[in-house]
Amino acid sequence: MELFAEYVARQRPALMRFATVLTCRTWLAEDLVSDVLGRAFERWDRISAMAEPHAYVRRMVVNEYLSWRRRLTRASPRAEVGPVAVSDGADERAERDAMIRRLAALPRKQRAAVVLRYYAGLSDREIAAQLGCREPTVRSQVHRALKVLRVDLTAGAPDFQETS
Amino acid sequence: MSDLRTLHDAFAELERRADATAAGTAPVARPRRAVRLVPVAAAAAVVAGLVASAVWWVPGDSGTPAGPPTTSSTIAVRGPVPHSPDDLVARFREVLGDTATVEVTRENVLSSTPPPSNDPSEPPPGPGSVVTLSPPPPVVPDASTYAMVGGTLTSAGVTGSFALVVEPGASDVWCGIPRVDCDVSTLPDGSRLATGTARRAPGAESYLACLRRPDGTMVFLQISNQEDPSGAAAGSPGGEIHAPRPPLTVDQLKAIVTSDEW
Repeated sequence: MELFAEYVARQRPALMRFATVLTCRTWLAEDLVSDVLGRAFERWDRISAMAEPHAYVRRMVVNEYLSWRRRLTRASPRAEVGPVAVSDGADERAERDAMIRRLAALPRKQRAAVVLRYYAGLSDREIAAQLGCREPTVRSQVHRALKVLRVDLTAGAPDFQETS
Repeated sequence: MSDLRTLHDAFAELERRADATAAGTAPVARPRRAVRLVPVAAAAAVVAGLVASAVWWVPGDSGTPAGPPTTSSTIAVRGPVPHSPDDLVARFREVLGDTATVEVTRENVLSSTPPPSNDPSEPPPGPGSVVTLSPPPPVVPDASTYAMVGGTLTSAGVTGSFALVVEPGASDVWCGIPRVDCDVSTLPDGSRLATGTARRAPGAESYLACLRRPDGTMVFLQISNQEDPSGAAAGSPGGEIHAPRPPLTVDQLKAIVTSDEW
C-alpha cells in the first residue's frame, strides 16, 4: 500500500497538469488539486487499497470541477501572471493560444468530455461513468465541443500522450 | 479549421503552465511537443506544501489561517457577509437554532477580488510569450474575503452533508446548474429565491436553496443524503448514501436562507 506522501510526490504533477487542462486556469487547478488531495488524505486508507487509486483521485478532480459548490468559487487570488513578450513569433503558437481560448470558453460538461476523451484517452463508456450520463450524451457533448473548437477530425493526428 | 494536433498543442501548453506554477518560478521556454520531464525539485516542494494542506483538512482540526475572532450574536452591527469561516459558522448556528446541529469539516476563505490576468478568457499574451509566476499568497480572512464551509448536519436524528456560502456581489452563476430543476421566485423585498432538487443516483437526493438579495449578496445552501452535498453518481467519490433522505426539507432550506438572523 502506497503512503500518501509517496503518492503525492509521484502523482501531484500529473494531477496538476490534468486539472490545468480541465480548467484552463492554473490558479483554479491548484485550488482543485489541493482541495481534492486534502480530502483524499482523509480517506487514504480506503483509496490506497483500491485497484487504481490514481484513477479514483482524478475522478474526484472531475467531480469537484463539475460540482455546484465549485461553480460558485468564481474568484480566488492565485498566481499572478505578467506576460513578457518574446519575439520568436510563430503562427502556430497563436493558433494554439486561440485553441486554448476556445477550450476555456466551452461549457464545463463539454470541456470535461473533450479533455477526458482527447487528453486522458478514456472511452465513451468511461467518460459516461465519470460524468454520470449516458454514452450518447458523451458523444453529443464531444461532437458539439469539437464544432466550437473548430477541430477537423478528418485531418489525422496521433493520440495525445499525457505526461505522468 | 484546426486538426487534433492543435488541440494536443493546447494541452501541452496547459501542461507546461501547470509545471511552471508547481515550480513557482518563471518557466524556461521549451520546444513544442518536447519530452516533458517531471521537475523533481518541484515535486519535493509541493509535498512539503501538501503535508501542511492535508493536515489542514483533517476533520475537527481548526487549522484555519489566523483570522478575526468568532463573531457572536452580541455584536450589535455586522455586515451582510461573514468574512471568515468562524463567523459564517457562528451565524449559521444562530439561524439553525434548535433545528439542527452542524459539524464543520471543510473551510475555505475566498476573495471577491477578480481572478488574475492569466484567465484565458482575457486577451492572451503575445505569441511566444513567457509568463512570470510567483507563489500564491495565503488567503487570510479580512474585510474583503468571504467564506465557504461544509460538513455534516443532523436534524431529527437524520445526518447528511451540507455546503454553505454567503457571497458578496451578484454572482454570474445563478440558477443555471445542469440537471437541477430550478424554481425561481421573487420575494416581497425584491430578493430572488431559487430552489432546486437533484437526484444523482438511485436513492440519492440533494436540495439547493439560494437567495440573492437586492444588494447582490447571495446566500447559497445545499444539503444531501450523500457524502457530497452536490450529490454524486453512484459509485463515484462522494456518492455514498448516508440516510434515506436529506436531514432538512426544501422548505426548511428556504426558511434558512431567507432568515433575518444572518
